[in-house]
Amino acid sequence: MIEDDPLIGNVVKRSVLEWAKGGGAEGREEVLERYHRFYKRKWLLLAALVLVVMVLSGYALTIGDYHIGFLDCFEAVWIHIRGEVGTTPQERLVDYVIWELRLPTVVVGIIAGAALSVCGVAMQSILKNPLADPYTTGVSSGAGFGATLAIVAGATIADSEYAIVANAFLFSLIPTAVIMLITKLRGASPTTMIMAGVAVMYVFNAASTLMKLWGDPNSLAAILEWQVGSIGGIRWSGIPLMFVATVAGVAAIQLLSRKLNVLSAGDDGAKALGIDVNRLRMAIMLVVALLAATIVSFTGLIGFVGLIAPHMVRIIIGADNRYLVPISAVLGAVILLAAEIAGKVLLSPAVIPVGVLTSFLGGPVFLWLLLRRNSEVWE
Amino acid sequence: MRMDISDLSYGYGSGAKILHGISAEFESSSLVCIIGPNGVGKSTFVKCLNRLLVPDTGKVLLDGVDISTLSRRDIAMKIGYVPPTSRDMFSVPVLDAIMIGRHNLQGWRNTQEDLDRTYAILKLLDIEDLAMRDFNSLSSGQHQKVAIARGLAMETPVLILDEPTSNLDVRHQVYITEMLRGIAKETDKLVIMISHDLNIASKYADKVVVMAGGTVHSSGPPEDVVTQDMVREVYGVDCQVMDVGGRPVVVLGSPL
Repeated sequence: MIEDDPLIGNVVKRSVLEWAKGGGAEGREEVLERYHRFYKRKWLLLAALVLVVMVLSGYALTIGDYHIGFLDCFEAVWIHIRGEVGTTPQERLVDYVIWELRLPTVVVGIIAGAALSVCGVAMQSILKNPLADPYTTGVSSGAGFGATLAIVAGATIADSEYAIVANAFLFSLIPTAVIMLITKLRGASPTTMIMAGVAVMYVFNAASTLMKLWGDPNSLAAILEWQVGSIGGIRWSGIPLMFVATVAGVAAIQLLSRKLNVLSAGDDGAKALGIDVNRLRMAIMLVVALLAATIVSFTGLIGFVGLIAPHMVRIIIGADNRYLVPISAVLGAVILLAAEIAGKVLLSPAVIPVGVLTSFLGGPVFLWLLLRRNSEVWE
Repeated sequence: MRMDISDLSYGYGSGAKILHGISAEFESSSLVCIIGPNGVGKSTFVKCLNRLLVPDTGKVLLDGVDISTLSRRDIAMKIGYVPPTSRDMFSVPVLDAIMIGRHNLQGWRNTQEDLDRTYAILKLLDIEDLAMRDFNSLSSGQHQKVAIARGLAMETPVLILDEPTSNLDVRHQVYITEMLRGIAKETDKLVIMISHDLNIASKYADKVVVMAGGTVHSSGPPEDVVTQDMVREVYGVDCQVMDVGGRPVVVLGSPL
């Protein structure tokens, strides 16, 4: 026992004995009070952002040539859900405008924003790289090539409406497959994964460029439109797939969020805590690739959300993935909805695609947060 | 808890062997210090003890149980580990950074017990004022203390620390090593640490393991192991060794 040890001085003896008894209470209440306050802030932020999503969704539904009031929009959605749409032409028109024309865009905005943002959280955590985003899996370059192939050469794996979507999805998974093969052979270190991703990205981008050289002006315009990324043209038929992928993907990443936290102890530290680090990286990479591929094939390349939404949340509440995942999901939805609204309002009647505005609006806000942040203490 | 190591060998990839047939025995309620020059395989050796690295040959037995038969999580519940450096990428409060050590002891939510135990460790290391500081804003010494705290938070019967005091000032080097010895005695733990400070190892260790050339040069109580001949032979440095209160103290001379 420590009491009999002549090598241990009184200061250390006192500390160790107090710790062994469960620790002194002195100062504990004050520290834990600050800690609880810090936690409460996470829930407040989540609640506030959910509210913002509701408001933005309502506002987005009002935008268009046919005027429908803010509350009337919610009412119209509610009436449709309950299956009580009236028979007058006026009522049917309102239902059509809200349900068929405007609501799909809002729903896709929420889904895509949440999905891309959570993909960003997961990639940044497993690669320990603040610049990682959903596309670090190579999804964007593969999808881009697939879409280009469909548009320029008409080489697709599906017919008509979903030609580009199907192609983009299929090809977007190839880079991930290559990265996973490389990591299987060389170990799943963040550096290997990022470098493999970059290498594959260059190959696919070069292939896309080559295809574009052969494309006619119409094809090039179509490719540009796809690359910019938009959520406006998607109808209900595409939404169930995006919805299911997003719910499953976000749930999987949320379930793994405690393990993602442990990665911050370093690879050896995490292994010593019982985490199979390589397997965790591979599993997350696969989930992100499937989720990002599903979203991107419908919307085109919407950049920046997946990169900055997680950082914005980290700046406010820290990097605990248990909270970072859901809050980033909601913030991602907020950013996409805000960008969609701004895209319709700013230069109305011209519409700016959402992919352009996420960067335009997100960049300055992000810079402001970076400057404002007190990096020393969490309260 | 008792650790028996027999005939441990390890080589990275297809390269030359780093460890050659190491055998050793460690008892609970003791502080073991592993010393030796740079690049002799000290870190590789301790990583083989909890299978962060899987040895090519040899066995590690914990109370007679071969750890290669245990799951990674079971090993994590028995052997804590503090890596030499652990810098986080993203910001969390120090309290959360330490609580990661309780990964296998806690559920989804932090309970009052989780918080109380973590706070007790902060107090033990005298860093309770850092509780809500951003982990990334700490100095390297403070960082190291948080890493040690995280290791203690694992609450394992065996704790391995790879150079836990390398960034600390003299007072904290002495405090931490004395504390590790105290914890070993008071809670019947086996604490194994790598150190470069011969005098701190001599003063506090129950057992010193001297490594050289990927094998154990000598091991035993400090007074038997830390000798003028050992320092000359292993480190290539001239020295005098004096006896202070039954423990050897090394006064270094020039390189030989």
